[in-house]
Amino acid sequence: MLTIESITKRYRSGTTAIDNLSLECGAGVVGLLGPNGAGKTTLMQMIVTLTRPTSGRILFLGRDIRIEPDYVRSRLGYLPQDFGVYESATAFEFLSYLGGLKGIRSRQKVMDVLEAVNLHASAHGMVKTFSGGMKQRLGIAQALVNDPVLLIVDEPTSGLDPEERIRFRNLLTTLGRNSLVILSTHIVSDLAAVAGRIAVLDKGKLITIGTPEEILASASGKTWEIVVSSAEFEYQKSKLRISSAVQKTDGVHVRFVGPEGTSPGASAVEPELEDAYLLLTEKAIR
Amino acid sequence: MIKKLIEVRSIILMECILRFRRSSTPVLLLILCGAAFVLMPETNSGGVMFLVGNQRVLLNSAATSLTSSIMGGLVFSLVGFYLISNSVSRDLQSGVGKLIAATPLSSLRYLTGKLAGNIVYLTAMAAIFMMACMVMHLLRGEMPLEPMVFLQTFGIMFLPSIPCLAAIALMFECVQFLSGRWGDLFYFFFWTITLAFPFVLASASKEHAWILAADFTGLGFFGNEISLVTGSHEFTIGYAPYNAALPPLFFPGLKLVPEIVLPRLASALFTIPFFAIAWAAFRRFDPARRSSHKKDKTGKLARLWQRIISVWLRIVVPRGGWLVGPPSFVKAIVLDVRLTLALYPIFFIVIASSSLLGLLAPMTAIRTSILPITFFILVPLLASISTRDRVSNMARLVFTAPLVKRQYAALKFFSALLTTVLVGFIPLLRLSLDDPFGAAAALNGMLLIASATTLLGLLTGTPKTFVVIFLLFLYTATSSKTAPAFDFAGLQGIATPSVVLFYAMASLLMMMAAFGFERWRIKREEAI
Repeated sequence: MLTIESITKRYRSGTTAIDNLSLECGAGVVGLLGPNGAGKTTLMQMIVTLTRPTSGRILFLGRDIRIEPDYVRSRLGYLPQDFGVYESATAFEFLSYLGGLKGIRSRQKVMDVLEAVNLHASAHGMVKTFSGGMKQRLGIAQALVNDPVLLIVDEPTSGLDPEERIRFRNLLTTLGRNSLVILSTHIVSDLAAVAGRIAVLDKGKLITIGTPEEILASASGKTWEIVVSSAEFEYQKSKLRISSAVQKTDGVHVRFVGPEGTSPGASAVEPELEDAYLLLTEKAIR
Repeated sequence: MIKKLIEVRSIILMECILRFRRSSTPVLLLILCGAAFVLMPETNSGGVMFLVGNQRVLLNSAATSLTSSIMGGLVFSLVGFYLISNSVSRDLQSGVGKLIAATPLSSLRYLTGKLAGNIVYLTAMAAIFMMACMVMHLLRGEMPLEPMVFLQTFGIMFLPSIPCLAAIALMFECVQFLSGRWGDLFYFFFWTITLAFPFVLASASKEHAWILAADFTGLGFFGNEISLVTGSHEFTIGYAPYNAALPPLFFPGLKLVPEIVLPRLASALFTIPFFAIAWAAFRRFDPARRSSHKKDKTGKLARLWQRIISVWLRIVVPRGGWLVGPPSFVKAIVLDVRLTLALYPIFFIVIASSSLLGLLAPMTAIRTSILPITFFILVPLLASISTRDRVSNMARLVFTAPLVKRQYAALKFFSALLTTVLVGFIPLLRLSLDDPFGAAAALNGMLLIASATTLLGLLTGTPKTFVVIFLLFLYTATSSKTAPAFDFAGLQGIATPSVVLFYAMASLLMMMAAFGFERWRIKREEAI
């Protein structure tokens, strides 16, 4: 469905945000993981035709989006990380407006989408009276209003309460059956719950792409836990790649990634996605 | 095709919703009604708005619609620009632009929608103003109201100029170096030039009638029309005393002959080049094409410039020293000034030039040139001092600092005043040695500019209100060579002590109003 062929994005300042990245995605949910500045947002901005690659090309359903940008735009839903809303419009007016720009004329469709994000009761309320979570849901609604074939969402669950987060994750899973959903988030548990494949980016390069199981397997036998005193922890924390540290009655339970023998006395534990991510980005740093 | 029209319609509709729901719209409507009231004074007040020679014109529909449309058109061409010049930047700043950019809407249709939205809004405002003038005619006119005459006159005045103005505003928003505060200042000068331009065209049009098509303001057209109908070149539009001994002159109305009307209507075609430039310059919210990503900090000259600015900042407002330690209100003011200087490195050039010229220029030039130019440059620079915290959502953070929240208006006032004095210090000092009263008047002017930017910024939340009102006032003050009442800073050398006192009182009142308003707003916000 989406083919990214050797794209590079270099800003006029000389910064290379994306460096010769290639990727192929079919229907399903693809998660993007990476540290801040890895190039996730730039990659998504190029896919949604907001900005152009310096070199390389992106094909959507076989068509070059640089040559036919409207082909992808008319089938696209996009939720940027730092989007805005018109504060003095109502939710219904705002959604009708963006729906209108995407060729949606039906009032019922707008109401249906508002219902899908649980905003139907506030449809005629002014956006300026909305909480942060409600605005985020309105953003999600505008991305869904045209039944997109390609949905690109950047940190969609930030600001949502746990119940809404789960609701949204379920929505993505449903959409991922027939459409391609590209989801970027720092909340690894969200990715573990919905993503069929996960792409890890760092410094503009694609480090790896695979199913959550494949990513997890890369950390198998490389995830450890050790219980140390507080004083020992202070010493150890600069030496280990720690994924979590919890103070308990018997000491600090430190979970870390690395090859066997990194810390004598550590016992192997089942890896989680966060451990695998740490391990992958550590390799990239080295 | 229908789908494309729906897209454009959606934009127009949203533009109208957002604009008419603004809290400033009812205020604007009141101002329009007030303007209609002022533009039609009673004949027994001693003056009228339309004279031929020194003979007043009878207040029939033709005369009242003519004067109100000319005066209204004049103000509209200035104020209207500032009212509508935020349609694209609103989308950019709010972040909605990114959502729009990812839709199939083409840039051309987006800009067409914005242009049409601007036109609809300005036309609505012009229509409301026309209706207010018609009501005033009913109250003060000397002949029955003829609505069709009003419609015709306002139509000829506004219909060609509104699309042009809407396209100019769009062009200013899309062309990067014209957008923002400097664009606002640039438009003001552009507007002052367009005031003189029509009369040059009007005299040239006697040989070639179509040359008037270049006059999109309509002033040249109306000048020619009045000359044609009255048979006189000596006429006055604007409040002036008349000879009561002479009977009122009957003005039959515009002579709408094709050779005059067609060039007037054709002037609307100016919309096309302005719109084309806007379209060519529009970047569809691409973050890579914004200034933050430009290669502007890598050149040797740029690096040298950055170094000069940082050294200069350290000299003018030191970072350490007494600024470190327990917080105080004075420190807060100095830090705010430091922020202003850091945000606008151009202050370095402004202060350096003003100081150098203040030292070297002849004394007369300080008052007649250096200080007026300084005031003009200060207007866009000072405009954001009282608005930037709320515009960038920083106000809540700033309010958590000690001593700031309760004295926020005072902080902003003193910050603006200190910045102004910093810019005009050397010329002011030199003036005080030669003409102490002139220096006091100039300082008074600085007080006025600081209090006006604080009050208008806090009241409206946008820097544009101060920019448009104060630039207009400054233009009037620097153009009125014989009216002491406008000489607020002694720039013409005709300010009397009572004028200086009046403006000092006005500054004080504005400062108190700003202080009171901010207190009320904070209390209201705390109560929610």
